[in-house]
Amino acid sequence: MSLKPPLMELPIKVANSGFYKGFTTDVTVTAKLLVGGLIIWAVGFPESAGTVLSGINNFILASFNIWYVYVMAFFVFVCLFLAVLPASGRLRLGHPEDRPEFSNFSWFSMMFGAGIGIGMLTFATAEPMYHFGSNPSTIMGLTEGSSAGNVREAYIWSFTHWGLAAWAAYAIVGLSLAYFSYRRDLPLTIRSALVPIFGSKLSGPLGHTVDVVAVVATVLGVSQTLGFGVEQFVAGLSRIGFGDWLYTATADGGSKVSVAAIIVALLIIMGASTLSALSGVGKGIKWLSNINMGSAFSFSPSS
Amino acid sequence: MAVQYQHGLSFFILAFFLIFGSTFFGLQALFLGIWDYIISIPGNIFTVWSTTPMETFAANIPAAVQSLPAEDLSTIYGSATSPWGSLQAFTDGLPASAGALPPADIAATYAAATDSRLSGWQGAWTIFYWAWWIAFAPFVGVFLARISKGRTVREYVLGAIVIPALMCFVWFAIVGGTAIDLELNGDANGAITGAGQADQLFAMLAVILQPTLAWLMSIIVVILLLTYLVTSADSAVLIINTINAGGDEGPKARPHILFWGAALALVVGGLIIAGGLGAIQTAMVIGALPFSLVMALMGISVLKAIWKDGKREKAGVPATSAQVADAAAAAE
Repeated sequence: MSLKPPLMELPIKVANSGFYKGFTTDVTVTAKLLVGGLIIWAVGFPESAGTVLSGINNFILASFNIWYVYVMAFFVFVCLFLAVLPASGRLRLGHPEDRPEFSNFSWFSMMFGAGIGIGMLTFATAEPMYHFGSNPSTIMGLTEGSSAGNVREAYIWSFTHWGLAAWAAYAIVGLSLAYFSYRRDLPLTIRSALVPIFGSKLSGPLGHTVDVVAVVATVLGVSQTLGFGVEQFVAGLSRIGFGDWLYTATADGGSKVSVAAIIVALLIIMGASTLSALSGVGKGIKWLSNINMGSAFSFSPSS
Repeated sequence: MAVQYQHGLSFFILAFFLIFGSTFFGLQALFLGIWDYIISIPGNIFTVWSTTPMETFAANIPAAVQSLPAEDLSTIYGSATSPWGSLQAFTDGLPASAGALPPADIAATYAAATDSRLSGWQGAWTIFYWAWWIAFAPFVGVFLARISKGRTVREYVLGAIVIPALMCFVWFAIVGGTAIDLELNGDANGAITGAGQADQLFAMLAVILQPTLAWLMSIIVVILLLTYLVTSADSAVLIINTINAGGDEGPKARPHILFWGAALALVVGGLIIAGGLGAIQTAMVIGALPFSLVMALMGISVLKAIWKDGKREKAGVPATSAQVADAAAAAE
């Protein structure tokens, strides 16, 4: 039996000087080209972008629905299995003497706060309402939409979508990154999680590809969240009384958020967040200061 | 600073609905919902509905419907497979040639497309969410890893999966339950159902509160929302730069922060203007697919690593960087 210690080093080449100093040029430039291309395509050729993207989207929804359902089930299974199994459940994400940096309360509240707030403000109302109107049970004719008998069905689907599966997807990424970073000193970045499969090859193009895929997914996933947030922000401004210009009429007699409203909302949001990100320069990364605030809130000793 | 206010404000809003909302209805929805959800998991977790092709549909409908003209049949197929319709709407929208069909035949025709409607529903809801969570996972995952050093795997799973899921359930049951209750008991009179998804929380506040208080509460919600948007966007920019820097939190070059801030704004703005939220949704579902493969490999990879580390431990082979250092020190 040839048991060797696992790979403990995964060098990722970064530029030593120039515009990309400190960055992996291959990853950064590729990601910028992909995202930049998407923006130019969507802004310059909205019709062709819309048609092509929704064509691919329909294909994915029809052909990869099984994949998505099973892969999410797999994440839930892996996380619960590793937690329940005595041998793995007591493994530490770190070395034996490492102890958590944060009190349980501030740790839980940071977990929950990590990007899910927009979901709570929009979907905590909207989703049970939608499912209350229609869900698989009403489609099959088992319950009647918008009736008292449909409330439990509405909650089964709301909880399915925002329950274990959602958090298991986040947790599997966090678990593997923490495991390889804190036990094996690998860099805390996406490609490190695949070292047991691909080994040191991840220092090269394969690893770059993994990171690019993660960056593109992040941009689009966060855009989705921001998109819902912008719409709710505009709806709120309209309720507060900022005027009629926030909405424009559509051809079918409805209304939609106006272009001016989207631009103003995005200028406010992205202006504030870019300033906040820039102010992090020299003070350590923003999420770290957020973390300290999180622990300050719970009156616990912070790191 | 922002996080502190966020916790306070979001707790305030939840407490508001606990006190002034439909508390009993919400708590009932919470407990029954958790019970129903847990029971539904074994059945739901692997359920995939697929569309019924036109030929299968045509073979399964009553003979009287099969004999209708081909173009009418294709109209009927189109409307029977729409997940957002109802039997009533389907019946009302039938082509003229189908006017004389007996209700039983119409119902049987509609039933022949049930799987297609279920599949359409699942694509728009469940699969959309699964793609969204996957696309969001590198962002949240890096953050979770960052704050979880020193936790055991069991603690981590409890803290990162079970507790946040329960918190979501509380929000959905208390806040959403109030909305459903107001519609069921007639107080809202369709005001919440009729509002767009982005406006429903505000619509509900307008039903519960007198106008001035509803206005004040709406301002509080907008402020909270703004802080969430700003912290999500700036953390996203910093995590993107961390991944681009090979995991190093060090480089904080201004041009790159500005680039990704502008890129996020342009992706959101460009896609919403081009095709509404639907356009972001399509791009996101596409962008999530390759990362879902990476995540599946991550699952396999962590299982493999934990299994092999167990064997290493038994054989006395170093499995962590600390053990390697100890072994090296002992060898000297």
